[in-house]
Amino acid sequence: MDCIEFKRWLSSQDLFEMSKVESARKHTDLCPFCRKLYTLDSQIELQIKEELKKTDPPERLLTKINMNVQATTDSEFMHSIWWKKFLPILGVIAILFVYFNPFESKFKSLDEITTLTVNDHLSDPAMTFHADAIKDVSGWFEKRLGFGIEIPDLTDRGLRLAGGGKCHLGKNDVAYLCYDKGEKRVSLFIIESSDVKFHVDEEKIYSLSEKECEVKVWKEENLLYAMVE
Amino acid sequence: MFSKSKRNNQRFNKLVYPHVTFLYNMALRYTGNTYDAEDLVQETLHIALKRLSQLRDETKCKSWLFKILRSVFLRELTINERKQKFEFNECNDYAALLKGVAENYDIEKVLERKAKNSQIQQILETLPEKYKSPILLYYMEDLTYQEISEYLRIPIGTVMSRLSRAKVFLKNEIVNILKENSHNGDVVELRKFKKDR
Repeated sequence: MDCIEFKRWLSSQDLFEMSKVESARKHTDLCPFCRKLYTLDSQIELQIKEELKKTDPPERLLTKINMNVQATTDSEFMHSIWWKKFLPILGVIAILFVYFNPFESKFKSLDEITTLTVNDHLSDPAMTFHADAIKDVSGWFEKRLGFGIEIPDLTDRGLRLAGGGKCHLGKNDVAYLCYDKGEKRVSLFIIESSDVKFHVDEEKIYSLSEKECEVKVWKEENLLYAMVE
Repeated sequence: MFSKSKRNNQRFNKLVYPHVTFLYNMALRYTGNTYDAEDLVQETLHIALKRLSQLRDETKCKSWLFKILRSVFLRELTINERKQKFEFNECNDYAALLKGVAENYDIEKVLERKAKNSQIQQILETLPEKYKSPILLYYMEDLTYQEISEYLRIPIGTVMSRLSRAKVFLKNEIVNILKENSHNGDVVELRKFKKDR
């Protein structure tokens, strides 16, 4: 290797084969000026390495990394995929649960009210009070049910109030009034309309029958009436 | 579920955590400041933690992490920055420059006045990423051409030519800084001294 070849090698060592390193070293042994260039280059290389030596990351970075790892673990469940596969099924179950909630206490249909009131009517419930003993029937119920009732005037239909009491229809407390209609007994159940989940038209009287009983249901303001005879 | 997550964290601590210093130093040289470097490392590790299950060969964890760090860094660069114009002055012959210094300056004194760290960082910042990455991996990590080629997913020949050009550029700039520092200090310029004599 001569001086020209050495300088070419020095400028682009990475492009030469490793065998050239030995040739270059031999040349520097013979040529003092090229040795000087080599020394200068080696010193520059060293300086680069020295300036690019690694530094330790700051403590705050390590702390943040640890916190991030911990936070990722905590939120991993929320981001994991496996349980999300069941989301559609869970959604359907949730909708069905809301719709057919077995723990739901509200009345879901006229049929349900009909069945419950007829059963209650046929079981001949005991009266807690007699009409003659109480003047303010509405007030009596308000104290016990938490809502006041309007007693409809049914005298034109030949009904005479005999008495009544608080009773349970399903899971709801309702007002129960017992009327005499000649020899027959007629039951009137008064339900707070917030306990009813379905729509009842205020203009209409719904007429249903079950177990040879006739049930008439109507709504006035915030009360739903179910009369069974 | 949570035990799986715990296992993942244990694996993270075992495989990834030892490379935090490497990642931080690469990030520091890429971004040029500690705060951006910390952000870059955190985002890299966040991705690594999420994708740790994709790491099949644990011996390649370091290069895998570097690839993530680099892709995050490149994503952050705007298109203009990424396509920054950069031309090597091919006429600026490194050997000739060294020759000029060797002939005209007292080398020992020139070398005493080292380029400052910040000056080297400034030179690095002018280098496009495709030259900067091989330089950093070569000088900071002592990686071989083959390893750099795997880290950057480029052919080994490309590594060699990029490294060669980047080194010449870096060294040229350092020599110029050394010359400049010598003018500002007490280093005697031999040619001037000879003429004056």
